[in-house]
Amino acid sequence: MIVTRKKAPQTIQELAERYKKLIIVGCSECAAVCQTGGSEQVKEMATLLGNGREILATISIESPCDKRISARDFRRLEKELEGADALVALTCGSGVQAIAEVTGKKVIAALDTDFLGMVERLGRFYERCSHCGHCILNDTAEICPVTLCPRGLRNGPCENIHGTRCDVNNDRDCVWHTIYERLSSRGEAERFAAYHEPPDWSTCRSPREEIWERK
Amino acid sequence: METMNYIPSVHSRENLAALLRKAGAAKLLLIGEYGTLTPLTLINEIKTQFKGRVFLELIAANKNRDLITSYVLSAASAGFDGVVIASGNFSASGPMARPVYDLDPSQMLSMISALKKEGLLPASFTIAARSAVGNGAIAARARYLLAHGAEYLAVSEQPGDEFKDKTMRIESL
Ligand code: SF4
Ligand code: SF4
Repeated sequence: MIVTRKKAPQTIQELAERYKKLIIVGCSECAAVCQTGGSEQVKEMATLLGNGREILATISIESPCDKRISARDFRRLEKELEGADALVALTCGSGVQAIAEVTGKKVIAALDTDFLGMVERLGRFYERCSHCGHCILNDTAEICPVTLCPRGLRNGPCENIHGTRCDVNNDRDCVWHTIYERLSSRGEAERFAAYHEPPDWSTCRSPREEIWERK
Repeated sequence: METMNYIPSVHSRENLAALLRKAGAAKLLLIGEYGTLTPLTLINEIKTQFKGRVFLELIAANKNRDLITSYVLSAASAGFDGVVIASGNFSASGPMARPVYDLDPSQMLSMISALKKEGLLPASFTIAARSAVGNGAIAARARYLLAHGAEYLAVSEQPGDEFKDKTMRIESL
């Protein structure tokens, strides 16, 4: 799930200052779970920006980052879109861009996009994968050091480890200690010596794309 | 066990001269990269004032692999006698800078060992790697480093018996 945070109301007000007719767009997937772009937050945004402006429509799209779904849902708002000066998107950055591409309109990004999160329960989201493109979880007892080590080291603990503790996040164990313990408890300690090449940035530099060949 | 006298940072040439006087008859100096002056620009002065061997502490932090290659080749050609590979302090350049770790110490070791095998570094150029001292993951990584090209571990605490013969002790000047 993509974890997002609300930008400050003052910031949104400033960003929307020049626009008089707005459409507010929410996301009923990730941003709804984060309570940053669900129907409640769409209503709040309409109230925040409604003063002195016209809110032409509010809409919650199931996956606004999916252009097919956005395009389908915006078809219902053709008239409102025509009249809108701008859209305010309570979505991740990918959603904002998809909406801008689909509508051809100015879109105000109302959220900051933080990370790909593992959900424990509502309000408890944890970064566990930084989508590095070269997954090593099969050697690391399904614990990602690229994400959980502040230095992102792929091959064992650094020299700064204090006993079992990380020198950067010193309230936490070094992730490589945790990996070693889990591998050892499974009788797989030899995997700890597996060597992981540095990522090849010629294949994982931005922007990444996945294009399927037609069969 | 050999001792490395550690100079983590040099901020001026006067500062260097004072540190070298303090080093006196030490046999091995380890020069770190945390000062305002990069060790690569100081090696000539160090070599004229200090008669022992001089190692560069080559940190992974805030360099990409191209820069690391350039640093190690420059260090050898400038007269350093070896490197100590380290991950380095976290975000030493300030709280706002994005920390860069393109390579980790094991990857640096692999790259530098390959340069030596290819003859791009002198045969006498020593490759060491910093290590913590401890059991479990720490000892396993120390074994890995020694098995994959590190001639020595550089440690700042008393090492366990297993590693004593392959350890250099870092002591601050
Ligand atoms: S190694 Fe970590 S960051 Fe890379 S893909 Fe696997 S889980 Fe994600
Ligand atoms: S102590 Fe462990 S988790 Fe912390 S930076 Fe070093 S390797 Fe990473």
